[in-house]
Order: sequence, then C-alpha cells, then structure tokens
Amino acid sequence: MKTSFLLPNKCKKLGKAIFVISAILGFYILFIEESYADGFLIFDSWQAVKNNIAIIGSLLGLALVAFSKERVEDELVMWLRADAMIKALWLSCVLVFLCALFLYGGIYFYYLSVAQYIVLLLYIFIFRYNMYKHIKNNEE
Amino acid sequence: MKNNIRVERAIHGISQQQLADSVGVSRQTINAIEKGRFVPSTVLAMKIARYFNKNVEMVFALEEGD
Repeated sequence: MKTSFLLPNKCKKLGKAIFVISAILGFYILFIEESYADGFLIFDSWQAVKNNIAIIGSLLGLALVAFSKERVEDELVMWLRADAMIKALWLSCVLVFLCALFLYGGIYFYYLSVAQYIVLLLYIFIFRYNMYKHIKNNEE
Repeated sequence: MKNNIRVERAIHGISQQQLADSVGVSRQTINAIEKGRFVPSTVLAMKIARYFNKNVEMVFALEEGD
C-alpha cells in the first residue's frame, strides 16, 4: 500500500531529539527568561534567533515524530493514524472552546504559546495509545 | 466480514508471521483480521487469498448486516 507523505522510520528519533532540545529552550524563554523579541526577522537579534529556534524546532520535531513511518507501516496502522487524527482535531476544537471561555489575560497568552502544538501533540499521544492497544490486543 | 484465514493457515501449516511477511503487513494485523477486528482492503484480501491459491470469496465472506 502506498503511504505517501510519511517519512522514514529513523526520522522519529531525530524528531524526538530536536523537539526535546527546542521545547526546553522554549520553556526557558517563556517561563524563566521571560524576555521576548520585538522583531520577527531571524537575524534581528540573538533573542529573535533563540525564539525562532524554539518555535520552529519544536514544530519540526513534533512533525518528524508524527509523520514518521512505523517499523511495519501497513493499512491497519494507516487506519489508526486516521482515527487518531480525527480524535485529535475534535479534542483540539474542544480545548479552544474551553480555553476561550475560561482563560483570560496572561494565562491565555501562555495557552496560545502552546496551542500551536496542541493538534500534533494530541495526534501523537492518541496514535501511540492506538498502537499500544492494537499491539496488546493482538499479541498471542 | 468473516474469514477462514486461521483454517487456511492450519491447512498450509504456516504461522501468522509467515503469512504477514508474505503479504507485507505486521503479525498483529493478521491477528486482527483473523479475529474480525479489522476488515482488510480489497488489495490485501486478494493478496491473502492468492497466497492460499484460493478465490477471495473462498477466504472472505460477507456476514448478515454487512
């Protein structure tokens, strides 16, 4: 079966490493350093470069993890992917509704910082859970 | 959709892993199909039937309500 738009399995480890490093940097900037760049251009200042590394690195890492093939990528795995994607989209919609209703001010800003990764994070967690259930239920 | 893959495997004396390797899926997927938890695509169903030298409808059959 053709599995287009999926990356080789080894990209998953690379993605995890990139995500962990970038996410730690991101949390450091957001919660400890608490300093933000005014410009958006990558060479504007060292702070802007750090911000961009944290934002793009986290997204790139998550995308590599989410869209890497499993060791055996068959049609059941693709079905589990589709199932996880639909659930992740639904859950992220619910989260946006809830956060818009109940979060205001600074906390909402922090939520927005993380919100850009919510769909991918939910997809990865739900897909891993689907795979865990699939392997556990079909071991004999 | 029901199937008799388990019976065919027993007749041919092959394991789930051997069948999985031959048709290019994981062993867990073959197990899920055998247990009726997953309905394979037409391509995979035909590959499995061809492996046993049978027609698809001799390996897979529709159930009432399908």
